Amino acid sequence: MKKKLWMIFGPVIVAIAALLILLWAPINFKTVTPQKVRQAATSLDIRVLKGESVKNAAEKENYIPIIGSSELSRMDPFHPSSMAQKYHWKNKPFLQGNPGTASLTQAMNVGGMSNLKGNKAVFIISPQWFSKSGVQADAFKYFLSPLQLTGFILKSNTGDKAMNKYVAGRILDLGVSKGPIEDDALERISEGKQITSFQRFYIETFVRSSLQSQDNLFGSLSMNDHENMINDAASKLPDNYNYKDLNKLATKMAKHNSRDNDMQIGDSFYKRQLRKRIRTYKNTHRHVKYTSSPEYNDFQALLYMFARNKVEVMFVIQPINPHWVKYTGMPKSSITNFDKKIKYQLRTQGFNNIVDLSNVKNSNYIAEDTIHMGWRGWLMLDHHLKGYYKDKKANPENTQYKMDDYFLSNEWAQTKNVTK
Amino acid sequence: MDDIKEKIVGILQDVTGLDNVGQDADQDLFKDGVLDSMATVEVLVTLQDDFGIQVPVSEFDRSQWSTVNKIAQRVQELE
Amino acid sequence: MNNITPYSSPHYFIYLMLLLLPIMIGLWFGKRFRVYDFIATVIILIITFFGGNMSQGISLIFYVLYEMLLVFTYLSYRKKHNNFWIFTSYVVLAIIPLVFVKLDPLLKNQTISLFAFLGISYLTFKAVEIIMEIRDGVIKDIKPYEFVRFLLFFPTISSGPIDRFRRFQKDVMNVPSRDEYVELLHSGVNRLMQGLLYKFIIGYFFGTLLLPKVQILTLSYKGQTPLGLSWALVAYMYVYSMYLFFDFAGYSLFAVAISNFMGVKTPMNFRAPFKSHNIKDFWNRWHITLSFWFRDFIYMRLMFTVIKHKWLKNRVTIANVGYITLFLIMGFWHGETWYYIVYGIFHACAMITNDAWLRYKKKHRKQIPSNKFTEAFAIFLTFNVVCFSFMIFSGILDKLWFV
Repeated sequence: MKKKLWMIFGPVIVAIAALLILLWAPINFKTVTPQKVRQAATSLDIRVLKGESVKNAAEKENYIPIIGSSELSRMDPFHPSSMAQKYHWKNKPFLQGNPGTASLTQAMNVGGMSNLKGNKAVFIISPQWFSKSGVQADAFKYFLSPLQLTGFILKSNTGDKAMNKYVAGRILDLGVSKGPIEDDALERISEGKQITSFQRFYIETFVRSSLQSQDNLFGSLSMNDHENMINDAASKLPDNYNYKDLNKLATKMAKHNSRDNDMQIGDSFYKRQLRKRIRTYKNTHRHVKYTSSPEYNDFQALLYMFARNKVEVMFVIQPINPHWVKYTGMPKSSITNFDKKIKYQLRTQGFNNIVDLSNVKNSNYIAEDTIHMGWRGWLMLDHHLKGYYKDKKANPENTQYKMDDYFLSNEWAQTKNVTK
Repeated sequence: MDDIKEKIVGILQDVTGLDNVGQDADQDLFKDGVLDSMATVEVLVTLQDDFGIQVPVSEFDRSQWSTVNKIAQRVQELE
Repeated sequence: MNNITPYSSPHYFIYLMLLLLPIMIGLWFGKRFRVYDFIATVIILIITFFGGNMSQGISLIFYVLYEMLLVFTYLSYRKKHNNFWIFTSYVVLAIIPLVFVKLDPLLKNQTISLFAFLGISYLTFKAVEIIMEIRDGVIKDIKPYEFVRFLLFFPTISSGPIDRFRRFQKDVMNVPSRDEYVELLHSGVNRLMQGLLYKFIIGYFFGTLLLPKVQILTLSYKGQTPLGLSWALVAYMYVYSMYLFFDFAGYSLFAVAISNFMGVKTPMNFRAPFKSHNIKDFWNRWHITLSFWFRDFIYMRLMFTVIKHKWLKNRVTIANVGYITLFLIMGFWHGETWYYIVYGIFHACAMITNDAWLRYKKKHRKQIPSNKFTEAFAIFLTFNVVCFSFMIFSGILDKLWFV
C-alpha cells in the first residue's frame, strides 16, 4: 500500500520540490552570456522588454539603450543598429520597444533598469501616443511586467512621492490586478501611504525572487533573432562614412522601395496594410490633436524614472511622413502644437537634449511608411547618435533635473496652449 | 417476460425505423446511437400508454434503461 | 484581502491542499469528519466570497436561504398534492434570482443585483434539479444540511461540473474502501496534473500569449475591409476555441480531482470534444454536465409534454422545436447579448441540419460511403462548425462591428 501511495504522490512531490528549488533557491543561473546580450540588443523580444536581467547585463557592457516603440523594427540599412555595426561605434544600441508600448510601459521598464544609473539613453517619442484617451488598457496590461511591477512596489519608499502615487493609481485605473497582496500594496501607494512590512516581506521573498529566477531562466531563452537582418542591412552600406553620400544612398534606396505609390510609403507596408483601404483614410485626421492626453502625465512618470537614476537622455521626436499628413488632412498645427507642449515639459525640467525630426527642411523619405521613421529619418538621427554614442557615461552637468509634479496633474494633461 | 420483451422490441422498431433492433437483447441502445433523446421520449410515452405505467423523466437513469433486457426488467418492476 | 477566484492562483491551491489534508487522512482511515468538512467548506467560501468587498458573500447567504425556503415548502406541499401550476411557480421562483442577475447588465442604471455572486448559475441548476425530482417523486426526503452540503460543495461551486443530488448523496453517505480510495487518489492526482497542463500551460499559451496578439490584429481591420473580415479573424477563431477548451476543461479537471480527493466521483465535463463526429456527438462531449442537465430537465421534459398531449404530430417538427427552444434558452442563459443568442440559434440550426442528414443517411445507407476518409472529414467539418460557433460566442464580431 505504501508503494502504491508513493507511485501516486511520489512524482508530484518530486515535481514540487524541483519547482521550489528552481524558483526560489538563491541560485544564480548564469544564462545571460555576452552572445545573448548581443542577440537581445536587436531582438525586440517582449521578454527582453519585460525582463530585467538581460538589460542590466547589457548596461555593464558597451550598450546604450534606444527606447521607443514600433519604429525600432524598421530595420533598413540606416537603422542605428546597422550603422553602429558597420561603422564600429564604440557603444551599440540596445533596442527596447514594441508596437503598442508607450510612456507608462517604458516608465516601468526604465524603473526596472537599475544599472542604467549614471548612464546615457535615447528615447523616441511618437506623437500618436498622445491621443485623447491615452494608452489602451489592453496594450498596457499586455506589456506590463510583473517583475518590474514588484520592483516598483518595493522601491516606492524612495523616489518622488507624487510620482509613486500617480503611477500606482494609474496602474490600478487601467484595470491591472496581479494578486490580492500586490493590489493592496498598489492601493496603499496610490493613497500616499507606505506599504506594510508584511506586503514588503511577501512581495520581496515570495513573488519577486521567483519572478527573478524566472527571468534568469527563461528571459533570454530562444529569443527572436534579428542579427541576420542587421548583418544584411549593414552589408548594404559603403565602407566609408560620408554623410552626403549616405544621404544620396538613402534617397535612392527609399525611392526604389516605394515604387507602388506616390506617397513615399514602403512597398511591402503599402501592399500589406494600405493598398485596399487607402481611400478610407482620406482626410480622416482633419481633427486629430495631440495636445490633450493623459499620456502627458504618463510621460512625466517616465521623466521621473530617468531623473531618479540621473540618466542623461536624448529625446527624439519622431517624424510623420509628410505625404501621409497631407493625405489624411492632418493640420500642420497638430504637430507644431504637440512639439511646443512636449518640449516645454522637457526643457523646463532640464531635459535639454531634444532631436526634433518632426520639423526639418527636407523631409523626403524621412519615414519608412506612414508614421515610422526610416531611411533618411534614421540617417538624420544617426548623425546625432554618432557623437552621443562615443561615451556611455552620463555627463553630470546634463543631469541636473528640476522635477515639477505639476506635470502629473490633469490640468497639464489638458492644457492646449503653452504660453512660452 | 418474453411477452414484454417482444412488445418492447416492437416499440423500439417502430420508433427508430430500424428492423434489426432487439436482435441482441443486451445491445447498448444509447452507446450504439439507436436511441437519441427524442426517440427515448417516444419510447417512454409509448411504454406508458401500452403498459399503463408511470416513468418520470428523472427516474430515467440511462444506465438502467440501456438494453432491451434492462428495459423489460424495469417495466416489470413498475407494472 | 480580495476574493480569490477558485483554481486561478497558486495561493488557492496551497490553501486548498492544507484544508484537504485532514479530509484525505480521514478517508484513508475510513472516516468522514462531518464537522470538519463543514468547517473547511466555510473557510473556502470565505476565501472565495468574503474577501475585500463582502457583497458576494452576503448575496450567497441570502440566495441559499431563499432557495432553501422554496425547496422545503415545496417538499412539504408535494407530500400531499401535485398541482402542475404550483410546481411551475416554484421552478420560476427558483430561477428568478438568476434571471435578475442576467438582466442586470441590460438596465441603464445598473444596480448590483441582490443575488449576484460567482457561480449563481450552477447553484440554480442544482436547486431546480431538486425541485423537479421532488415533483417526480424520486427525491422523497431531503434534510436541510444535505441540501446545503450539495449546493455548496466547494470543489464545484464556481463553475460546475453540475452533479445530481442522488448521485452525490450516494458518494457522501458512503466511505470508500481503502482500495477504492487509493484508486480515487490516483485518478485525482492524474486529473490535477492534466488540469495544470491544460489551464496553466496550454490555456495560458493560447489565452494569454496568443489571443491578445491575434485580437489586436483582427481588430486592426475594423472598418478597413467589408465587415472588417480578414484572415486574422480565422486565426482568432481557432485560437479562441483552443483557449476556451483548455481553460475550461482544465478548470473542470481541477474540480473533479478535488472531488475525488474528498471521495466524491463528480462527473467529468469533457470527453475529447474535438473528436466529435457530428454536432450531436459534440454536445455529448462538451460541457457534458450542462448539456445533460439541459437535455434531462428541459429538452426531454418538453418533448414528453408535447408528445403526450399530442400538440404536434410530426416527430421531426417536435424535435426541431425542441432544439430551438433548448438552444435559445442556453443562449439567453449565457447572457443577454446578441452574440450569445445568435450562438444558440446557430447551434439549433446545426442540430436540425444534422438530424436531417442522419435521416437522409439512414435511408440511403447503401449509396453513402463510410470509411476512414469520410470519418476524418466528419470530424474536420464538426470541428470547424464548432470553432465558428465559438467565434460568434467570443463577441469578437461585436467588437468588430458595433463597439
